[in-house]
Amino acid sequence: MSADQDEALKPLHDCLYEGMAFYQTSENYSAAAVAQQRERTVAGCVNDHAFHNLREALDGKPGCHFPNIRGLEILNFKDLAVIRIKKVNGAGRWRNARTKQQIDYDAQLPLTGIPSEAVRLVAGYQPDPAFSGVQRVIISAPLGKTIAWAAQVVIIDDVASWTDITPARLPGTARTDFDKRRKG
Amino acid sequence: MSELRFNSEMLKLAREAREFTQSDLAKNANVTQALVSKIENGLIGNPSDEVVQKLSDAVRFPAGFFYQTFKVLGLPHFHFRKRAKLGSKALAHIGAIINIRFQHISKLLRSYDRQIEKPIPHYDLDETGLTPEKVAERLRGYWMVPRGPIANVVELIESAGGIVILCRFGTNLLDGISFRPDGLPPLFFMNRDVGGDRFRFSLTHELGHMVMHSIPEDDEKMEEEAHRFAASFLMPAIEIRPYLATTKLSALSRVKAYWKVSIKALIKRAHDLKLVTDNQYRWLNVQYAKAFNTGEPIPIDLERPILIRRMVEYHLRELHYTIQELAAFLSVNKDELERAYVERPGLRLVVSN
Repeated sequence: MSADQDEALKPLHDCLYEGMAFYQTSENYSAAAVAQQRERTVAGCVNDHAFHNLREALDGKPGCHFPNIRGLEILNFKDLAVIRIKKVNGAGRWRNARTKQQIDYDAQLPLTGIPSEAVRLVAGYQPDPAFSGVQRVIISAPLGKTIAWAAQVVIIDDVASWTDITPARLPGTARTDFDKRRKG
Repeated sequence: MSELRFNSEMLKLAREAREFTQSDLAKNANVTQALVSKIENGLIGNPSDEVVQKLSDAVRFPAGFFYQTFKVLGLPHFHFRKRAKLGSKALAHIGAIINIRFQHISKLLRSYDRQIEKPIPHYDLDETGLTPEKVAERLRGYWMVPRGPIANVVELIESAGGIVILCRFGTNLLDGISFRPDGLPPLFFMNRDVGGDRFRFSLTHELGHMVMHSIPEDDEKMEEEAHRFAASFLMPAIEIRPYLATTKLSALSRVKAYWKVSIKALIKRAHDLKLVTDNQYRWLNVQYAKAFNTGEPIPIDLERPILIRRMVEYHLRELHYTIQELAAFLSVNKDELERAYVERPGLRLVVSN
């Protein structure tokens, strides 16, 4: 594993778990408030706390910047990758409002404020069925409406590594959204 | 001891409380099974002090336990949430536990008075024409329960004069038994080895029996009524409805943490209130079984009764009993008394069999 990966993966992994844990603590969010929240509100809260943790972990580190591109908060990691945080499903996919900026981000197209050579990534957490904890952390590379690749981040003995979990595709089905098709 | 009459029923009770067969007891007491059998069946009316001591050591109850004049209660044949698989041996054990706890409470209550402003009422469904849902609504009104989730069901029942006793039934097939013995307050013997959410629902279910059923009727009908009462009492329709607008498991988990009822109960409530169709209900149950096959997330704390502890403290502090005297009075070993009822600093042990 390269030193860069080593430097980024663990903070990404930890910030997502800690973001979820922060949200689940009753001192931070009362049971009464949480019971009234919708799924997207919960995901938004966890995303914000996770991103805050990421900023705390990496802000000031060489090559790490946190630009806000018209409301899109990302980590620019050494101009090699830009990373946003999202809730994802088991395949590493996420949902978004389809704004032009978001479409361009997912399509790896040039965006003002983002170095064109940097790969656009999503650091995602898959919540458990009760949304009470993180089941796994997945880094995905979007490619339009699908993903180019996805990798699960695993921590063993305090060392982060990632394993490719890109869903296998039959030839000619690379752009098929199986989840969407399954749900009809 | 010898001038007192040995009560053979108490030997059986002690044996069943320890889940011993006659053979186990004979082996542990180093006597013959024939002797145990004859004593239990009254063929040997007053065993020798030496035999009594051996039996006492084996079952870990003081010898005085066997000379009590209590009449052993049979389990009420209704008013308990029982799952069908519960065998007769397990029921005998539970019966013994309940009888022993019942004796303790009867004795403790002799010197412990309290005024109850709003006791547990009784509404006859046939006479009043009320439904279980209406009874739940009236009871919430009568006790002036604030809107929203009930913070503590045990506290509510204890303040209405009921006594909640946590027991280890040694099985999770029985959640609770309640009855109203002559001259004593309503008693709720509850299995402490279930989750806090299930405990609350079961206790409220028992409360429903206590409020609505005084004469045994069709068991299935009474169970259904008690269930409807519990669901309405813990989750009033008008108040829970907005929380069930989304019935995804993840959303219900958040609702669980606030309303302190299981996700399963929320799914059932959503169906009962016609917030989900039959098909959606089935699908939710399938999802539930897949997601939570090892148990529900978001554990709810078990509610702890405080009344029995207060009664024990009253005897120790106000009536100046020593622990030894109180143990002798209740016919239990000192260690067991302390384990069961006395709160020590840093410990929250309040129940044991």
